[in-house]
Amino acid sequence: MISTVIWCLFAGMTVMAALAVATSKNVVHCGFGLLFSLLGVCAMYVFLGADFLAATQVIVYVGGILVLILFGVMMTHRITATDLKSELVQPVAALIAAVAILVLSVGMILEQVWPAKEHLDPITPTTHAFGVSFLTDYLFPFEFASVLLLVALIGAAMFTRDSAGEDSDHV
Amino acid sequence: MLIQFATVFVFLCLGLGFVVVSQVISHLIRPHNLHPAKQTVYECGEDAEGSPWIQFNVRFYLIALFFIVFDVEIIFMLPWAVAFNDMLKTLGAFAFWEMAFFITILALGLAYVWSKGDLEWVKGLQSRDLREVRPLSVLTSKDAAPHGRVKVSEHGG
Amino acid sequence: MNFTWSDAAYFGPEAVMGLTFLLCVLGDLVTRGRRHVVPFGTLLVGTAISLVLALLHPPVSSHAILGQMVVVDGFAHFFRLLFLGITFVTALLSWSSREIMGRDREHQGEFYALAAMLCFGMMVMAESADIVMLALSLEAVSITSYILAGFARFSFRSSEAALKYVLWGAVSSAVMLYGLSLFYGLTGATSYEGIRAGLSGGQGGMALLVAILFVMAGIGYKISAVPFHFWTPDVYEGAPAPVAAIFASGPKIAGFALMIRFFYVALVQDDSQGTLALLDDVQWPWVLAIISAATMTLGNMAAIRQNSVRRLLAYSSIAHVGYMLMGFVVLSANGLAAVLFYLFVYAIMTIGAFLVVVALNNRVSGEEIDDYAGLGFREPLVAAMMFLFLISLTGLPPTAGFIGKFYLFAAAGEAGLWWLAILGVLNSVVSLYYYMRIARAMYFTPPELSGRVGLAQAHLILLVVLAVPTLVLGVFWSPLKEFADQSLRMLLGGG
Repeated sequence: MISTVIWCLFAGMTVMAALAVATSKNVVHCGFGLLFSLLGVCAMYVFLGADFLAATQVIVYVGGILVLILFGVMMTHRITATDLKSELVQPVAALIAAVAILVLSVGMILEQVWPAKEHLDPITPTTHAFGVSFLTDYLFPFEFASVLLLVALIGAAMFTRDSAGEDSDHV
Repeated sequence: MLIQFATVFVFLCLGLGFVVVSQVISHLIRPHNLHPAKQTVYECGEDAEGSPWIQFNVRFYLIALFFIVFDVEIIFMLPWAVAFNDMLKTLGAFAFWEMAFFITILALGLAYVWSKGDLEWVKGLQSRDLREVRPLSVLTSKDAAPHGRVKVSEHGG
Repeated sequence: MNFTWSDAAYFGPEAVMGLTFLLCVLGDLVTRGRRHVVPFGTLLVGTAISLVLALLHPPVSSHAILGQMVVVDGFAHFFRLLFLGITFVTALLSWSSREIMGRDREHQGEFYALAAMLCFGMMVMAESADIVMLALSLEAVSITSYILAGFARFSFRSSEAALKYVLWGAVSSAVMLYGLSLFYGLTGATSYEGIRAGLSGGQGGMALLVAILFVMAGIGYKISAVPFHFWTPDVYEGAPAPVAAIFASGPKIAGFALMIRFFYVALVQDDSQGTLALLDDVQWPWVLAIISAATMTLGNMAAIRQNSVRRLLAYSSIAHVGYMLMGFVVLSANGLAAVLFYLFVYAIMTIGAFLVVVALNNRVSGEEIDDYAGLGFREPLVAAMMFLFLISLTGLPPTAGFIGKFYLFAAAGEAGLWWLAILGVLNSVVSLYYYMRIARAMYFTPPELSGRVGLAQAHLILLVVLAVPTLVLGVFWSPLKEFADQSLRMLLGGG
């Protein structure tokens, strides 16, 4: 099946890129690794039939958050000289946590039959359904999200603002 | 639906293939005649100075942050727009006012950053950099980089 | 369409707080950030209106409104009043705090806007009846908290506190969202009721275990229960003291409210004889009982070693979370009523103790225990109040803290969790030691300087306002207990 081959291609890309992000010592490489990882996740959404989510992934994560992260990287003083610390801290605790999560996740994936699957139809495009939900059942969360975005905007502005911005009209 | 995304995949493959093929072909047919001068970075015929890894101005980050917030807003508006025509029949004008309310709240955010001067690139630049003790001549000369920062985007040509 | 205007009547207090937030931002903009009294006044008026609306229309039955996203019932009403009270008090104490309103500070206007938003978010948190709303309201409160934690932007400690808070918060939010998505996968529903209905079929197994553990991790971070508590001392120490007072009370209490509603509506069933039972075979109360024991023990042990009053109070607040979890795990109405009672009392005494820190901030030389030396001679009134709050935090009679702890330990004993109750009593004994270190410094160490410290009038009045209920509820507690019982009736009787 050709779609399985393509899926494996994207899954491999996602995992490899994520590994590169975690292990690379160069912060710029991490940023670009993230690009491929996020694109791979986008492909996963497509395979799951979540077309709107895939578009969101590209627009918000690849187009927005990643650019922000790369800006953050570019702002660091002497980027190439910065050696990332990626050595192990507390290896025992980390190992226990990682193994526990792995066992639980694998066990869960192997044993579980997901009843929610019956409600879902992987063929239909989802954007329209999202729009209908925003206007009916999920109206309040939708409006609440706008307030949440406003707070985030105010916070972002407060933290990054030049202190001089306040009294700049004296100049 | 997957088959519709297959077009995207084919497009992706073609794009990648074009890059790879053209690189390979040019590698095969170009003359291999290395000279030290050819290895240098081209910068308008000048000798390149310093590292290309420069420190970006914080203001880029601020603008990028604002961009993301409004980016997410667009994501919320898209499905609303898709469903709008159908919902107009059942909900009437409410479908419109709901989005109007949403946008009003975010417009308040825009008003906030605007009024606080976060969008004003030049003003912010002056307020910070003019006040630092710099001789006036440096500031008036065109290519003076602000103190402690490296200018971006003016060396492109 | 699920939205009707009649819903607005039930949602009035929340809507007013949301509007207050917007008006605070607008007021700050219109006055170009120069008249801080505008957002401050807006917040006070908004909170007062909201409080009046809430008191005028206490819900008589459970209303699922706004498309079944939030439920307004007695439980929501209880927390609504508590959050409005906390916001009112913290707004007042911030107004005369140098850390917020000092000359060199910026963004004073935004502070009150954020306080309004925090209150709005917390109220919605206590009312959420859907995992979408749960995640959104938790995020709203978290994001507002991050901003408040880093409020003193040019203080290194404050920025560090904010960064730690954001990193912890982001990771635990992600973990919790994954858990919530598993709930959806298991039941195909996003509402708590729907999840309960879906789980009644008996799809237990590994996925449910993972889902419950992950959701616990997210909420555990919010209430700073033990493996997720590391951010707490740093944030309380780094953030401005008024903000620390808010954090120690508001979001933590909201986390409890959210946890109670989610676990008791979605994962517990009422088997018609008035006893509560687990829906499934995942024994989450045991996990939480162990977390409770670890939280109170580690919190108290760490508090012993602290010399900074703020860090001490931070660890003591962690220990109190452990006590309160005790009432949560017993699966009985009595246990929950004890938690509600204690949350109320805890808010009063913790804000009181932090208020002393705020009031003394910058007036004595620092915030170490030694800096409070001789306070009993220099400021007898403040020292007496601090002593009262400390006694109450320890849980000694005749204070409200004693009654609260008594109910908690009794509920644990009643459910047969004697080991947990005994551990709680032992921990209280340990806590007496470190609380009394502050008292000893205040009363038995001679002051280095003599003369009055000179405190803001507003702080003294607020201290008295908080001290009175601490004492009165210690001897005359039945109205609050009845209120707590009554608040729970709709929550537990509803299903």
